[in-house]
Amino acid sequence: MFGYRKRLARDLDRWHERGWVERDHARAILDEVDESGLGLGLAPILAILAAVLLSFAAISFVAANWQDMSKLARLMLLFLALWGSYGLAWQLNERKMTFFSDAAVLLGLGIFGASIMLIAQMYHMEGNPPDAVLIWAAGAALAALLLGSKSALALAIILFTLWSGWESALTQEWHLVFLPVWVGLVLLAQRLDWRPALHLLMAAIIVWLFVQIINLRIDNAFEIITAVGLAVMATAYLAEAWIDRATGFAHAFFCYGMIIAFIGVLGWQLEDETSLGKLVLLATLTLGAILAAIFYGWRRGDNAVLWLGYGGFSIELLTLYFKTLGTLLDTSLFFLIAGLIVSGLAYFAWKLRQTQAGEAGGDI
Amino acid sequence: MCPFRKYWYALLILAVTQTAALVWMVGDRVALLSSGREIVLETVPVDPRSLFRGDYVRLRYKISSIDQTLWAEGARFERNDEVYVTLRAKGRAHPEVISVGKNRPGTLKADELVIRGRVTYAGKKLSVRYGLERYYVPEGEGKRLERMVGKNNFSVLAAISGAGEAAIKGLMIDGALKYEEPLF
Repeated sequence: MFGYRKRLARDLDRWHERGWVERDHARAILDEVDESGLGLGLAPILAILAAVLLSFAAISFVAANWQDMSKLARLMLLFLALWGSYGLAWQLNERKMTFFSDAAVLLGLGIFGASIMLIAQMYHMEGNPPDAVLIWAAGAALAALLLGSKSALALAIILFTLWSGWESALTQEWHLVFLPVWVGLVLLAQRLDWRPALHLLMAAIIVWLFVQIINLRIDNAFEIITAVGLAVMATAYLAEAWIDRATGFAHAFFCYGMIIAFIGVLGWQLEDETSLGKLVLLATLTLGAILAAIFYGWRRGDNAVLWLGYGGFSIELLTLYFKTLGTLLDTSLFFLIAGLIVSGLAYFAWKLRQTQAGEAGGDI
Repeated sequence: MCPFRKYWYALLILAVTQTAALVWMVGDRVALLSSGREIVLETVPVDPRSLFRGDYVRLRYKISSIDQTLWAEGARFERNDEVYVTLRAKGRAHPEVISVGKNRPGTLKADELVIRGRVTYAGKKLSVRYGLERYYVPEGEGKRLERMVGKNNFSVLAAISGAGEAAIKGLMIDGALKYEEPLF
């Protein structure tokens, strides 16, 4: 379980003996590992899972709507659990077990959410259900801001996305308030200097976009999604240096643009009213774009783009297969063409590997 | 990472803020329930098959659907509009809708009261949600209540604030208050 730290300590000893690393530096590195929780292996992950489980226990307790205990007593029990969790977080933090104190904060936030649900239940509140999620999300964001808690930030991102989706499902209108909230969360993620949160935020904005478009039943929805995706890609490409300076995130930004554009163009092709001619045109353009992406990925040695390209290629072919089955092409003919294309690609890839291997060989 | 020099200080602010938010939610509701005007609304549980199974049941009221003849003059409604529904009731029972509009009526007679709602559907009739549509079933009571549906009449005792906000005070079966909600 403590494998990484042990190995690192051993390596540092060796590097110190060779005179590459000062003794103080080695100690600082190990301290950092201890603090980050990386050296603890499974323990911090289990702590987070335990926090999630205990939160669900609190929520189920609420859902049971147990009448043998008075409202006040139930509420007091949850308040006690809330303060208890934060007290535990404080004690763990005092002992420098920051990863565990973060899990205790997450537990506190779970209990905060359960308390909101309990109050809504006790007083039969119907009102506007997303408001309850908003209060919970705000509580999580506050924890992320005050404590620099990463798990609180992740929870806040999920909850704000849920809130926004629910709002637009109820009102069937654009829920644009989410955008400034999202920007705020991006700034918070920057402040905590936690890159996974930026990925989660990108996922959140993609989910938001789809939920909006589905809820609003917008005409030409897939055209819009495709355009948005292409715009994101173009922005990431043209303003790469600037975005990287600001966020260090231009590359991921480009990849997300690809995903959005691809989902858009896929939906466009799957639409029932798409005519055969339009389908062929779209499919040709999509496959062309995917090949361009694969080529771009290869040229820049960019594995993320390369793999997205391969994945997109397979999904696109599968889509065409289902869409054209029994109409445009005979099934066997389809497989023949697809097979030929893939063989061509395989040959292409093999050539690339050879070139790369040749280059690598030349370097040594 | 933590912007406060003392972690416990940040935790304290968090715990106090969250507790305050929860207390405010309860206080707001208790104020409405204790000071709001009482009315009794006949109700029908909406889905007769899956009734009282989950943690709450959806309720529909006579006043949930409002005929076009009762709409304020020249009023056009859309989904999600906030509306004020004027009710007339002798005592607290059997309120009837007398009008619905987007603005709160200025003057009310003694037997009238206003309840605020949100439009869920606007066609020939107006469907309105008042925030009274969800009743959380106590643990272990679901089956008993379900057996009564169809045989017994359900109604809800509600409290309405001066601003028109409504809250459920209790569930009545055949006119008798069976499930009363204590304030705390």
